Amino acid sequence: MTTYTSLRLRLYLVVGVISMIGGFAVGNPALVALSAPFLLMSAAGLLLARDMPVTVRATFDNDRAIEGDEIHLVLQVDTERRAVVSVSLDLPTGLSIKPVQEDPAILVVFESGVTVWGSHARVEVTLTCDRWGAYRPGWIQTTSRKGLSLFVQTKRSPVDLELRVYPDVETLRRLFEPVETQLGFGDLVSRRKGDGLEFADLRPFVPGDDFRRVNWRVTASGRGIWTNDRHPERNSDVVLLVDTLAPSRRGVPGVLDLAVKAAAAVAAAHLARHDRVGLISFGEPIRWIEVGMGDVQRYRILDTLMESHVRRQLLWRGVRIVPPHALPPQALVVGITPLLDERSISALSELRGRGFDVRIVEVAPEEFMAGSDSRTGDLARRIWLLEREATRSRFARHGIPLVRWEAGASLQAALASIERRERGARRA
Amino acid sequence: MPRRLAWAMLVATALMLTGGVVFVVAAAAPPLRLIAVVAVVTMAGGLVAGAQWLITVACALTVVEIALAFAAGSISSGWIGALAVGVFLVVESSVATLEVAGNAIAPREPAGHRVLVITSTAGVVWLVASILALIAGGTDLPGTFTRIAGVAAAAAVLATLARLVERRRV
Repeated sequence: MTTYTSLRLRLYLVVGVISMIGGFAVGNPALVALSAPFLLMSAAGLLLARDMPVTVRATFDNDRAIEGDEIHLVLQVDTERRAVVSVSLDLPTGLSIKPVQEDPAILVVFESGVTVWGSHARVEVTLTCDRWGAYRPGWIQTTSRKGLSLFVQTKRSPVDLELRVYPDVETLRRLFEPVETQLGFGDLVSRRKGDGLEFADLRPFVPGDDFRRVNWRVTASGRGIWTNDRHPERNSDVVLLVDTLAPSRRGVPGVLDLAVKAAAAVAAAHLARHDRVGLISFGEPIRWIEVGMGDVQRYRILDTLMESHVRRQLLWRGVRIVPPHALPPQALVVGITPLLDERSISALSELRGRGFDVRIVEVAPEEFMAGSDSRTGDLARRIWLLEREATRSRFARHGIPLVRWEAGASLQAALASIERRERGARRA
Repeated sequence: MPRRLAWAMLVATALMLTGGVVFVVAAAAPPLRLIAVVAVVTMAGGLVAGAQWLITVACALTVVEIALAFAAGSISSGWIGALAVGVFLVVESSVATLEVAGNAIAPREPAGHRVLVITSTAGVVWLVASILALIAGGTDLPGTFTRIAGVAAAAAVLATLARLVERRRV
Protein backbone atom coordinates (compact mmCIF):
# COMPACT_ATOMS: atom_id res chain seq x y z
CA MET A 1 0.00 0.00 0.00
CA THR A 2 1.31 3.45 -0.93
CA THR A 3 0.22 6.70 0.68
CA TYR A 4 0.47 10.06 -1.05
CA THR A 5 -0.06 13.53 0.30
CA SER A 6 -2.84 15.35 -1.50
CA LEU A 7 -2.73 18.83 -2.98
CA ARG A 8 -5.15 19.88 -0.24
CA LEU A 9 -2.60 19.14 2.51
CA ARG A 10 0.13 20.99 0.65
CA LEU A 11 -2.09 24.06 0.26
CA TYR A 12 -3.17 23.95 3.92
CA LEU A 13 0.47 23.84 4.98
CA VAL A 14 1.51 26.62 2.60
CA VAL A 15 -1.31 28.89 3.83
CA GLY A 16 -0.79 27.96 7.50
CA VAL A 17 2.97 28.27 7.54
CA ILE A 18 3.22 31.50 5.53
CA SER A 19 0.57 33.26 7.60
CA MET A 20 2.02 31.98 10.88
CA ILE A 21 5.59 33.01 10.06
CA GLY A 22 4.26 36.27 8.60
CA GLY A 23 2.21 36.89 11.76
CA PHE A 24 5.20 36.47 14.03
CA ALA A 25 7.50 38.33 11.67
CA VAL A 26 5.29 41.42 11.45
CA GLY A 27 4.06 41.04 14.99
CA ASN A 28 0.36 40.67 14.15
CA PRO A 29 -1.57 37.93 16.05
CA ALA A 30 -4.46 38.13 13.56
CA LEU A 31 -2.26 36.39 10.99
CA VAL A 32 -1.44 33.67 13.49
CA ALA A 33 -5.20 33.29 13.98
CA LEU A 34 -5.54 32.94 10.20
CA SER A 35 -2.97 30.14 10.16
CA ALA A 36 -4.47 28.25 13.09
CA PRO A 37 -7.41 26.49 11.35
CA PHE A 38 -5.23 25.31 8.47
CA LEU A 39 -2.49 24.00 10.73
CA LEU A 40 -5.06 22.40 13.04
CA MET A 41 -6.73 20.62 10.12
CA SER A 42 -3.33 19.44 8.86
CA ALA A 43 -2.40 18.12 12.28
CA ALA A 44 -5.80 16.41 12.70
CA GLY A 45 -5.49 14.85 9.27
CA LEU A 46 -2.02 13.55 10.09
CA LEU A 47 -3.21 12.03 13.34
CA LEU A 48 -6.32 10.45 11.79
CA ALA A 49 -4.60 9.11 8.69
CA ARG A 50 -4.72 5.39 9.41
CA ASP A 51 -4.44 2.82 6.65
CA MET A 52 -7.89 1.60 5.65
CA PRO A 53 -7.94 -1.98 4.35
CA VAL A 54 -9.76 -2.19 1.03
CA THR A 55 -10.40 -5.56 -0.59
CA VAL A 56 -11.70 -6.00 -4.09
CA ARG A 57 -12.86 -9.23 -5.67
CA ALA A 58 -13.40 -9.18 -9.41
CA THR A 59 -15.11 -11.76 -11.60
CA PHE A 60 -16.47 -11.77 -15.12
CA ASP A 61 -20.08 -12.90 -15.37
CA ASN A 62 -19.04 -14.90 -18.42
CA ASP A 63 -15.53 -15.93 -19.37
CA ARG A 64 -16.31 -16.24 -23.09
CA ALA A 65 -17.79 -13.63 -25.40
CA ILE A 66 -18.11 -12.74 -29.04
CA GLU A 67 -16.50 -9.62 -30.51
CA GLY A 68 -18.86 -6.68 -30.00
CA ASP A 69 -20.59 -8.28 -27.00
CA GLU A 70 -21.02 -6.55 -23.68
CA ILE A 71 -20.02 -8.44 -20.56
CA HIS A 72 -20.21 -7.59 -16.88
CA LEU A 73 -17.29 -7.30 -14.56
CA VAL A 74 -18.59 -7.85 -11.05
CA LEU A 75 -16.61 -5.94 -8.41
CA GLN A 76 -17.11 -6.60 -4.72
CA VAL A 77 -15.49 -3.72 -2.81
CA ASP A 78 -15.22 -4.13 0.97
CA THR A 79 -13.99 -1.42 3.32
CA GLU A 80 -14.10 -0.86 7.08
CA ARG A 81 -16.31 2.19 6.77
CA ARG A 82 -18.33 3.96 4.12
CA ALA A 83 -15.81 5.46 1.73
CA VAL A 84 -15.19 6.52 -1.82
CA VAL A 85 -12.97 3.96 -3.54
CA SER A 86 -11.69 4.30 -7.03
CA VAL A 87 -11.08 0.90 -8.65
CA SER A 88 -8.77 0.82 -11.67
CA LEU A 89 -8.19 -2.23 -13.77
CA ASP A 90 -5.22 -3.12 -15.92
CA LEU A 91 -7.56 -3.21 -18.89
CA PRO A 92 -5.99 -4.64 -22.03
CA THR A 93 -6.47 -2.92 -25.38
CA GLY A 94 -9.52 -4.49 -26.95
CA LEU A 95 -11.69 -4.21 -23.86
CA SER A 96 -13.25 -0.90 -22.88
CA ILE A 97 -15.49 0.29 -20.09
CA LYS A 98 -18.88 1.55 -21.20
CA PRO A 99 -18.98 5.29 -20.40
CA VAL A 100 -22.48 5.14 -18.89
CA GLN A 101 -23.06 2.59 -16.12
CA GLU A 102 -26.44 1.76 -14.70
CA ASP A 103 -25.30 0.73 -11.22
CA PRO A 104 -26.32 3.40 -8.65
CA ALA A 105 -23.30 2.64 -6.45
CA ILE A 106 -20.98 3.82 -9.24
CA LEU A 107 -20.14 7.50 -8.85
CA VAL A 108 -17.73 8.09 -11.69
CA VAL A 109 -16.73 6.09 -14.76
CA PHE A 110 -13.28 6.71 -16.15
CA GLU A 111 -11.20 5.11 -18.86
CA SER A 112 -9.79 2.25 -16.82
CA GLY A 113 -12.19 1.91 -13.92
CA VAL A 114 -14.95 3.26 -11.76
CA THR A 115 -15.36 5.11 -8.48
CA VAL A 116 -17.57 3.34 -5.96
CA TRP A 117 -19.29 4.77 -2.88
CA GLY A 118 -20.10 2.48 0.05
CA SER A 119 -18.63 0.07 2.58
CA HIS A 120 -19.68 -3.26 1.04
CA ALA A 121 -20.46 -2.31 -2.51
CA ARG A 122 -21.15 -4.88 -5.20
CA VAL A 123 -21.17 -3.24 -8.59
CA GLU A 124 -21.48 -4.51 -12.13
CA VAL A 125 -19.30 -2.71 -14.65
CA THR A 126 -20.25 -3.17 -18.28
CA LEU A 127 -17.33 -3.81 -20.59
CA THR A 128 -17.44 -3.80 -24.37
CA CYS A 129 -15.41 -6.42 -26.21
CA ASP A 130 -13.99 -4.38 -29.07
CA ARG A 131 -11.58 -6.95 -30.45
CA TRP A 132 -11.10 -10.71 -30.32
CA GLY A 133 -8.36 -12.10 -28.13
CA ALA A 134 -7.51 -13.78 -24.86
CA TYR A 135 -7.47 -11.14 -22.15
CA ARG A 136 -5.87 -11.47 -18.74
CA PRO A 137 -5.97 -8.25 -16.71
CA GLY A 138 -2.89 -8.32 -14.51
CA TRP A 139 -3.88 -6.19 -11.52
CA ILE A 140 -6.53 -4.13 -9.79
CA GLN A 141 -5.65 -0.86 -8.10
CA THR A 142 -7.74 0.79 -5.42
CA THR A 143 -7.42 4.46 -4.51
CA SER A 144 -9.13 5.94 -1.48
CA ARG A 145 -8.89 8.98 0.76
CA LYS A 146 -7.88 9.03 4.39
CA GLY A 147 -7.06 11.54 7.12
CA LEU A 148 -9.70 14.22 6.36
CA SER A 149 -9.04 13.72 2.63
CA LEU A 150 -5.51 15.03 3.12
CA PHE A 151 -3.94 11.73 2.09
CA VAL A 152 -4.57 9.28 -0.70
CA GLN A 153 -3.78 5.60 -0.35
CA THR A 154 -3.36 3.27 -3.28
CA LYS A 155 -3.03 -0.48 -3.34
CA ARG A 156 -2.31 -2.66 -6.32
CA SER A 157 -3.21 -6.36 -6.16
CA PRO A 158 -2.80 -9.09 -8.75
CA VAL A 159 -6.01 -10.63 -10.12
CA ASP A 160 -6.67 -14.00 -11.66
CA LEU A 161 -9.08 -13.14 -14.44
CA GLU A 162 -9.36 -14.47 -17.94
CA LEU A 163 -11.72 -13.57 -20.73
CA ARG A 164 -11.75 -15.02 -24.21
CA VAL A 165 -13.36 -12.93 -26.89
CA TYR A 166 -14.02 -14.87 -30.05
CA PRO A 167 -14.11 -13.16 -33.42
CA ASP A 168 -17.50 -12.31 -34.85
CA VAL A 169 -17.43 -14.42 -37.99
CA GLU A 170 -19.50 -14.67 -41.11
CA THR A 171 -21.60 -17.79 -41.55
CA LEU A 172 -20.42 -19.58 -44.67
CA ARG A 173 -22.81 -21.71 -46.69
CA ARG A 174 -20.54 -22.82 -49.53
CA LEU A 175 -17.05 -24.11 -48.87
CA PHE A 176 -14.06 -25.56 -50.65
CA GLU A 177 -14.83 -28.98 -52.13
CA PRO A 178 -11.95 -31.34 -51.37
CA VAL A 179 -10.65 -33.69 -54.06
CA GLU A 180 -10.68 -36.68 -51.72
CA THR A 181 -13.07 -37.60 -48.96
CA GLN A 182 -12.48 -39.68 -45.85
CA LEU A 183 -14.32 -42.71 -44.52
CA GLY A 184 -16.49 -40.95 -41.94
CA PHE A 185 -20.08 -39.95 -42.61
CA GLY A 186 -20.61 -36.38 -43.59
CA ASP A 187 -22.35 -34.02 -45.99
CA LEU A 188 -19.95 -34.39 -48.93
CA VAL A 189 -20.80 -36.55 -51.89
CA SER A 190 -17.85 -38.87 -52.35
CA ARG A 191 -16.43 -39.66 -55.77
CA ARG A 192 -16.38 -43.32 -54.80
CA LYS A 193 -19.36 -45.59 -55.20
CA GLY A 194 -21.22 -47.21 -52.36
CA ASP A 195 -24.27 -46.67 -50.18
CA GLY A 196 -25.69 -43.22 -50.43
CA LEU A 197 -28.43 -41.06 -51.85
CA GLU A 198 -26.78 -39.46 -54.88
CA PHE A 199 -27.09 -41.48 -58.11
CA ALA A 200 -23.68 -42.43 -59.55
CA ASP A 201 -23.99 -45.05 -62.28
CA LEU A 202 -25.73 -48.19 -63.59
CA ARG A 203 -24.12 -51.63 -63.57
CA PRO A 204 -25.23 -55.21 -64.13
CA PHE A 205 -26.65 -56.95 -61.12
CA VAL A 206 -24.25 -59.32 -59.32
CA PRO A 207 -25.20 -61.87 -56.65
CA GLY A 208 -25.22 -60.27 -53.23
CA ASP A 209 -26.58 -56.92 -54.45
CA ASP A 210 -29.53 -55.46 -52.63
CA PHE A 211 -32.74 -56.00 -54.65
CA ARG A 212 -33.99 -52.61 -53.52
CA ARG A 213 -31.25 -51.03 -55.63
CA VAL A 214 -32.36 -52.74 -58.87
CA ASN A 215 -33.29 -50.19 -61.52
CA TRP A 216 -36.52 -51.81 -62.81
CA ARG A 217 -37.03 -49.29 -65.60
CA VAL A 218 -33.70 -50.18 -67.26
CA THR A 219 -34.09 -53.88 -66.40
CA ALA A 220 -37.44 -53.86 -68.26
CA SER A 221 -35.57 -53.18 -71.50
CA GLY A 222 -34.65 -56.91 -71.48
CA ARG A 223 -30.86 -56.70 -71.40
CA GLY A 224 -30.45 -58.32 -67.98
CA ILE A 225 -30.86 -57.00 -64.47
CA TRP A 226 -29.37 -53.58 -63.79
CA THR A 227 -28.71 -52.00 -60.49
CA ASN A 228 -28.03 -48.40 -59.39
CA ASP A 229 -24.68 -47.34 -57.97
CA ARG A 230 -24.69 -44.41 -55.60
CA HIS A 231 -22.14 -41.99 -54.17
CA PRO A 232 -21.81 -42.29 -50.41
CA GLU A 233 -21.95 -39.16 -48.21
CA ARG A 234 -18.61 -38.74 -46.56
CA ASN A 235 -16.68 -36.14 -44.65
CA SER A 236 -13.24 -34.75 -45.30
CA ASP A 237 -10.17 -33.72 -43.35
CA VAL A 238 -9.46 -30.02 -43.50
CA VAL A 239 -6.29 -28.49 -42.13
CA LEU A 240 -6.24 -24.72 -41.79
CA LEU A 241 -2.76 -23.29 -42.14
CA VAL A 242 -3.03 -19.78 -40.71
CA ASP A 243 -0.09 -17.54 -41.42
CA THR A 244 0.55 -15.58 -38.23
CA LEU A 245 4.01 -14.43 -39.24
CA ALA A 246 2.79 -11.03 -40.40
CA PRO A 247 3.67 -8.34 -37.89
CA SER A 248 0.77 -6.94 -35.93
CA ARG A 249 0.42 -4.34 -33.24
CA ARG A 250 -1.79 -5.26 -30.34
CA GLY A 251 -5.15 -3.55 -30.53
CA VAL A 252 -4.62 -2.29 -34.07
CA PRO A 253 -6.57 -4.05 -36.80
CA GLY A 254 -4.30 -5.72 -39.29
CA VAL A 255 -3.87 -8.72 -41.53
CA LEU A 256 -3.74 -11.01 -38.51
CA ASP A 257 -7.30 -9.98 -37.60
CA LEU A 258 -8.48 -10.83 -41.09
CA ALA A 259 -6.61 -14.13 -41.08
CA VAL A 260 -8.04 -15.14 -37.71
CA LYS A 261 -11.57 -14.17 -38.72
CA ALA A 262 -11.30 -16.11 -41.99
CA ALA A 263 -9.91 -19.15 -40.18
CA ALA A 264 -12.65 -19.05 -37.56
CA ALA A 265 -15.35 -18.78 -40.21
CA VAL A 266 -13.95 -21.59 -42.38
CA ALA A 267 -13.41 -23.86 -39.36
CA ALA A 268 -16.95 -23.30 -38.07
CA ALA A 269 -18.48 -24.01 -41.47
CA HIS A 270 -16.46 -27.20 -42.07
CA LEU A 271 -17.23 -28.50 -38.58
CA ALA A 272 -20.92 -27.83 -39.19
CA ARG A 273 -20.56 -30.00 -42.30
CA HIS A 274 -19.25 -32.87 -40.10
CA ASP A 275 -15.71 -32.52 -41.46
CA ARG A 276 -12.70 -33.14 -39.31
CA VAL A 277 -10.80 -29.88 -38.96
CA GLY A 278 -7.26 -29.28 -37.73
CA LEU A 279 -5.13 -26.18 -37.42
CA ILE A 280 -1.56 -25.18 -38.03
CA SER A 281 -0.84 -21.76 -36.59
CA PHE A 282 2.09 -20.92 -38.83
CA GLY A 283 3.96 -18.39 -36.76
CA GLU A 284 6.82 -18.27 -34.38
CA PRO A 285 6.52 -20.81 -32.85
CA ILE A 286 4.49 -23.09 -35.12
CA ARG A 287 1.61 -24.70 -33.23
CA TRP A 288 -0.85 -27.26 -34.40
CA ILE A 289 -4.03 -29.06 -33.42
CA GLU A 290 -4.83 -32.50 -34.76
CA VAL A 291 -7.95 -32.88 -36.84
CA GLY A 292 -11.14 -33.42 -34.89
CA MET A 293 -14.87 -32.84 -34.97
CA GLY A 294 -17.56 -31.06 -33.03
CA ASP A 295 -17.94 -27.99 -30.87
CA VAL A 296 -15.05 -28.94 -28.62
CA GLN A 297 -12.72 -28.92 -31.62
CA ARG A 298 -14.13 -25.55 -32.68
CA TYR A 299 -13.29 -24.04 -29.33
CA ARG A 300 -9.86 -25.64 -29.32
CA ILE A 301 -9.15 -24.03 -32.69
CA LEU A 302 -10.51 -20.68 -31.57
CA ASP A 303 -8.51 -20.78 -28.35
CA THR A 304 -5.33 -21.46 -30.30
CA LEU A 305 -6.13 -18.63 -32.70
CA MET A 306 -6.65 -16.31 -29.72
CA GLU A 307 -3.04 -16.82 -28.73
CA SER A 308 -1.74 -15.93 -32.19
CA HIS A 309 1.25 -13.71 -31.77
CA VAL A 310 4.83 -13.55 -32.97
CA ARG A 311 7.72 -14.57 -30.75
CA ARG A 312 10.98 -14.51 -32.67
CA GLN A 313 12.81 -17.84 -32.69
CA LEU A 314 16.36 -18.57 -33.63
CA LEU A 315 15.71 -21.98 -35.15
CA TRP A 316 13.21 -22.12 -37.99
CA ARG A 317 12.31 -25.59 -39.23
CA GLY A 318 9.30 -24.77 -41.33
CA VAL A 319 6.33 -27.00 -41.96
CA ARG A 320 8.48 -30.13 -41.62
CA ILE A 321 8.17 -29.80 -37.85
CA VAL A 322 4.43 -30.59 -38.08
CA PRO A 323 3.87 -34.29 -37.26
CA PRO A 324 2.08 -36.53 -39.79
CA HIS A 325 -1.02 -36.99 -37.60
CA ALA A 326 -1.62 -33.23 -37.71
CA LEU A 327 -1.52 -33.39 -41.51
CA PRO A 328 -3.46 -36.55 -42.41
CA PRO A 329 -3.11 -37.98 -45.92
CA GLN A 330 -5.59 -36.64 -48.49
CA ALA A 331 -6.45 -33.72 -46.26
CA LEU A 332 -7.55 -30.45 -47.77
CA VAL A 333 -5.10 -27.75 -46.69
CA VAL A 334 -6.57 -24.25 -46.61
CA GLY A 335 -3.80 -21.69 -46.36
CA ILE A 336 -4.91 -18.33 -44.96
CA THR A 337 -2.10 -15.90 -45.55
CA PRO A 338 -1.36 -12.29 -46.51
CA LEU A 339 1.51 -13.56 -48.71
CA LEU A 340 3.95 -11.32 -46.89
CA ASP A 341 6.42 -13.86 -45.59
CA GLU A 342 8.42 -16.10 -47.89
CA ARG A 343 8.41 -18.87 -45.25
CA SER A 344 4.65 -19.34 -45.42
CA ILE A 345 4.66 -19.11 -49.22
CA SER A 346 7.33 -21.84 -49.38
CA ALA A 347 5.44 -23.97 -46.86
CA LEU A 348 2.27 -23.95 -48.97
CA SER A 349 4.26 -24.84 -52.12
CA GLU A 350 5.98 -27.62 -50.18
CA LEU A 351 2.66 -29.08 -49.04
CA ARG A 352 1.39 -29.03 -52.62
CA GLY A 353 4.58 -30.82 -53.61
CA ARG A 354 3.85 -33.47 -50.99
CA GLY A 355 0.55 -34.17 -52.73
CA PHE A 356 -1.86 -32.28 -50.51
CA ASP A 357 -4.91 -30.59 -51.96
CA VAL A 358 -4.03 -26.96 -51.17
CA ARG A 359 -6.27 -23.87 -51.48
CA ILE A 360 -5.29 -20.39 -50.46
CA VAL A 361 -7.30 -17.52 -49.05
CA GLU A 362 -5.17 -14.41 -49.49
CA VAL A 363 -6.03 -11.78 -46.90
CA ALA A 364 -5.32 -8.47 -48.62
CA PRO A 365 -2.66 -6.48 -46.73
CA GLU A 366 -2.66 -3.40 -49.02
CA GLU A 367 -5.10 -1.33 -47.00
CA PHE A 368 -2.97 -1.74 -43.87
CA MET A 369 0.16 -0.43 -45.62
CA ALA A 370 1.26 3.16 -45.07
CA GLY A 371 0.70 5.39 -48.10
CA SER A 372 3.53 7.22 -49.81
CA ASP A 373 3.64 10.70 -51.32
CA SER A 374 7.03 10.38 -52.97
CA ARG A 375 7.74 9.07 -56.43
CA THR A 376 10.23 6.57 -55.06
CA GLY A 377 7.59 5.30 -52.63
CA ASP A 378 5.10 4.85 -55.44
CA LEU A 379 7.68 2.98 -57.50
CA ALA A 380 8.50 0.72 -54.55
CA ARG A 381 4.81 -0.01 -54.05
CA ARG A 382 4.35 -0.91 -57.71
CA ILE A 383 7.35 -3.25 -57.59
CA TRP A 384 5.96 -4.84 -54.43
CA LEU A 385 2.56 -5.34 -56.08
CA LEU A 386 4.28 -6.93 -59.09
CA GLU A 387 6.14 -9.29 -56.79
CA ARG A 388 2.86 -10.29 -55.20
CA GLU A 389 1.37 -10.92 -58.62
CA ALA A 390 4.38 -13.10 -59.44
CA THR A 391 3.74 -15.09 -56.24
CA ARG A 392 0.12 -15.65 -57.24
CA SER A 393 1.27 -16.85 -60.68
CA ARG A 394 3.67 -19.24 -58.97
CA PHE A 395 0.79 -20.77 -57.03
CA ALA A 396 -1.29 -21.01 -60.20
CA ARG A 397 1.57 -22.88 -61.92
CA HIS A 398 1.67 -25.33 -58.99
CA GLY A 399 -2.07 -25.90 -59.37
CA ILE A 400 -3.02 -24.12 -56.16
CA PRO A 401 -6.27 -22.15 -56.43
CA LEU A 402 -6.09 -18.78 -54.70
CA VAL A 403 -8.86 -16.47 -53.65
CA ARG A 404 -8.33 -12.92 -52.47
CA TRP A 405 -10.30 -11.55 -49.53
CA GLU A 406 -10.32 -7.88 -48.60
CA ALA A 407 -11.41 -6.35 -45.31
CA GLY A 408 -15.06 -5.36 -45.40
CA ALA A 409 -15.87 -7.71 -48.28
CA SER A 410 -17.86 -10.90 -47.88
CA LEU A 411 -15.77 -14.02 -47.38
CA GLN A 412 -18.64 -16.06 -48.78
CA ALA A 413 -18.46 -14.12 -52.06
CA ALA A 414 -14.71 -14.65 -52.24
CA LEU A 415 -15.06 -18.41 -51.71
CA ALA A 416 -17.87 -18.55 -54.27
CA SER A 417 -15.54 -17.09 -56.91
CA ILE A 418 -13.05 -19.95 -56.48
CA GLU A 419 -15.89 -22.46 -56.58
CA ARG A 420 -17.09 -21.03 -59.91
CA ARG A 421 -13.58 -21.31 -61.32
CA GLU A 422 -13.25 -24.92 -60.13
CA ARG A 423 -16.61 -25.85 -61.63
CA GLY A 424 -15.53 -24.31 -64.95
CA ALA A 425 -12.24 -26.18 -64.84
CA ARG A 426 -14.05 -29.48 -64.11
CA ARG A 427 -16.40 -28.91 -67.07
CA ALA A 428 -13.41 -28.15 -69.31
CA MET B 1 -23.81 16.96 -15.23
CA PRO B 2 -21.23 16.68 -18.03
CA ARG B 3 -17.68 16.67 -16.75
CA ARG B 4 -16.56 19.63 -18.89
CA LEU B 5 -19.42 21.78 -17.61
CA ALA B 6 -18.68 20.87 -13.99
CA TRP B 7 -15.01 21.68 -14.58
CA ALA B 8 -15.81 25.05 -16.15
CA MET B 9 -18.15 25.96 -13.29
CA LEU B 10 -15.52 25.02 -10.71
CA VAL B 11 -12.84 27.04 -12.54
CA ALA B 12 -15.14 30.05 -12.55
CA THR B 13 -15.93 29.57 -8.85
CA ALA B 14 -12.26 29.21 -7.88
CA LEU B 15 -11.31 32.31 -9.86
CA MET B 16 -14.18 34.33 -8.42
CA LEU B 17 -13.22 33.32 -4.90
CA THR B 18 -9.53 34.09 -5.46
CA GLY B 19 -10.42 37.41 -7.07
CA GLY B 20 -12.85 38.15 -4.24
CA VAL B 21 -10.25 37.59 -1.53
CA VAL B 22 -7.30 39.32 -3.19
CA PHE B 23 -9.19 42.36 -4.51
CA VAL B 24 -11.02 42.95 -1.21
CA VAL B 25 -7.59 43.03 0.45
CA ALA B 26 -6.13 45.17 -2.36
CA ALA B 27 -9.02 47.62 -2.07
CA ALA B 28 -7.92 48.32 1.48
CA ALA B 29 -4.27 48.63 0.44
CA PRO B 30 -4.05 49.81 -3.21
CA PRO B 31 -0.30 49.14 -3.66
CA LEU B 32 -1.10 45.42 -3.40
CA ARG B 33 -3.14 45.39 -6.61
CA LEU B 34 -0.23 44.01 -8.63
CA ILE B 35 0.05 41.01 -6.30
CA ALA B 36 -3.71 40.53 -6.58
CA VAL B 37 -3.57 40.50 -10.39
CA VAL B 38 -0.59 38.12 -10.41
CA ALA B 39 -2.38 35.81 -7.93
CA VAL B 40 -5.53 35.63 -10.08
CA VAL B 41 -3.56 35.11 -13.30
CA THR B 42 -1.43 32.40 -11.68
CA MET B 43 -4.52 30.68 -10.31
CA ALA B 44 -6.19 30.80 -13.73
CA GLY B 45 -3.08 29.31 -15.35
CA GLY B 46 -2.87 26.60 -12.71
CA LEU B 47 -6.54 25.62 -13.03
CA VAL B 48 -6.55 25.55 -16.81
CA ALA B 49 -3.22 23.73 -17.15
CA GLY B 50 -3.87 21.47 -14.17
CA ALA B 51 -0.52 22.57 -12.70
CA GLN B 52 -0.52 22.04 -8.95
CA TRP B 53 2.56 24.21 -8.37
CA LEU B 54 0.88 27.24 -9.97
CA ILE B 55 -2.12 26.84 -7.68
CA THR B 56 0.25 26.58 -4.71
CA VAL B 57 1.98 29.80 -5.81
CA ALA B 58 -1.40 31.57 -6.21
CA CYS B 59 -2.48 30.54 -2.70
CA ALA B 60 0.88 31.64 -1.30
CA LEU B 61 0.56 35.02 -3.04
CA THR B 62 -2.92 35.44 -1.58
CA VAL B 63 -1.65 34.84 1.94
CA VAL B 64 1.39 37.08 1.37
CA GLU B 65 -0.94 39.84 0.23
CA ILE B 66 -3.10 39.45 3.34
CA ALA B 67 0.03 39.50 5.53
CA LEU B 68 1.31 42.66 3.81
CA ALA B 69 -2.09 44.32 4.25
CA PHE B 70 -2.04 43.49 7.97
CA ALA B 71 1.56 44.74 8.24
CA ALA B 72 0.53 48.00 6.61
CA GLY B 73 -2.37 48.19 9.04
CA SER B 74 -4.94 48.63 6.28
CA ILE B 75 -7.08 45.69 7.48
CA SER B 76 -8.46 45.21 10.95
CA SER B 77 -8.40 41.89 12.78
CA GLY B 78 -12.20 41.76 12.59
CA TRP B 79 -11.83 40.58 9.01
CA ILE B 80 -9.77 37.54 9.92
CA GLY B 81 -12.66 35.04 10.12
CA ALA B 82 -13.99 36.03 6.71
CA LEU B 83 -10.52 35.99 5.18
CA ALA B 84 -9.78 32.54 6.62
CA VAL B 85 -13.02 31.20 5.15
CA GLY B 86 -12.22 32.89 1.83
CA VAL B 87 -8.77 31.31 1.66
CA PHE B 88 -10.24 27.95 2.71
CA LEU B 89 -12.82 28.10 -0.10
CA VAL B 90 -10.12 29.11 -2.60
CA VAL B 91 -8.14 26.01 -1.60
CA GLU B 92 -11.16 23.69 -1.74
CA SER B 93 -12.48 24.99 -5.07
CA SER B 94 -9.08 24.72 -6.76
CA VAL B 95 -8.57 21.18 -5.41
CA ALA B 96 -12.08 20.20 -6.56
CA THR B 97 -11.32 21.62 -10.02
CA LEU B 98 -8.21 19.50 -10.35
CA GLU B 99 -10.06 16.41 -9.11
CA VAL B 100 -12.85 16.86 -11.64
CA ALA B 101 -10.30 17.42 -14.40
CA GLY B 102 -8.54 14.18 -13.39
CA ASN B 103 -5.31 15.98 -12.49
CA ALA B 104 -5.35 14.73 -8.90
CA ILE B 105 -4.97 11.15 -7.71
CA ALA B 106 -7.80 11.31 -5.19
CA PRO B 107 -11.12 9.69 -6.13
CA ARG B 108 -14.06 12.05 -6.57
CA GLU B 109 -16.64 12.11 -3.80
CA PRO B 110 -20.41 12.60 -4.20
CA ALA B 111 -21.04 16.30 -4.78
CA GLY B 112 -23.65 16.61 -2.00
CA HIS B 113 -21.36 14.98 0.54
CA ARG B 114 -18.44 17.21 -0.43
CA VAL B 115 -20.55 20.38 -0.23
CA LEU B 116 -21.74 19.36 3.25
CA VAL B 117 -18.18 18.72 4.43
CA ILE B 118 -16.91 22.00 2.98
CA THR B 119 -19.77 24.02 4.50
CA SER B 120 -19.28 22.56 7.98
CA THR B 121 -15.49 22.90 7.78
CA ALA B 122 -15.82 26.51 6.63
CA GLY B 123 -17.88 27.18 9.75
CA VAL B 124 -15.18 25.63 11.92
CA VAL B 125 -12.48 27.65 10.15
CA TRP B 126 -14.41 30.89 10.71
CA LEU B 127 -15.00 30.02 14.34
CA VAL B 128 -11.39 29.08 15.15
CA ALA B 129 -9.90 32.10 13.33
CA SER B 130 -12.41 34.54 14.86
CA ILE B 131 -12.02 33.21 18.42
CA LEU B 132 -8.22 33.34 18.19
CA ALA B 133 -8.33 36.84 16.75
CA LEU B 134 -10.70 37.85 19.54
CA ILE B 135 -8.45 36.35 22.23
CA ALA B 136 -5.42 38.11 20.78
CA GLY B 137 -7.45 41.31 20.93
CA GLY B 138 -5.90 42.73 17.81
CA THR B 139 -2.88 44.03 19.71
CA ASP B 140 0.63 43.81 18.28
CA LEU B 141 2.99 41.23 19.73
CA PRO B 142 5.33 42.99 22.13
CA GLY B 143 9.11 42.86 21.82
CA THR B 144 11.65 41.61 19.29
CA PHE B 145 12.46 38.56 21.42
CA THR B 146 8.79 37.43 21.32
CA ARG B 147 8.74 37.79 17.57
CA ILE B 148 11.92 35.73 17.15
CA ALA B 149 10.53 33.09 19.49
CA GLY B 150 7.27 33.06 17.51
CA VAL B 151 9.07 32.60 14.20
CA ALA B 152 11.13 29.80 15.75
CA ALA B 153 7.92 28.18 17.04
CA ALA B 154 6.35 28.46 13.57
CA ALA B 155 9.45 26.88 12.05
CA ALA B 156 9.23 24.08 14.63
CA VAL B 157 5.57 23.50 13.76
CA LEU B 158 6.53 23.40 10.09
CA ALA B 159 9.35 20.94 10.76
CA THR B 160 7.07 18.70 12.85
CA LEU B 161 4.37 18.70 10.20
CA ALA B 162 6.93 18.03 7.45
CA ARG B 163 8.28 15.10 9.46
CA LEU B 164 4.77 13.72 9.99
CA VAL B 165 4.03 14.08 6.30
CA GLU B 166 7.22 12.25 5.41
CA ARG B 167 6.31 9.41 7.78
CA ARG B 168 2.89 9.08 6.17
CA ARG B 169 4.42 8.80 2.72
CA VAL B 170 5.30 5.10 2.65
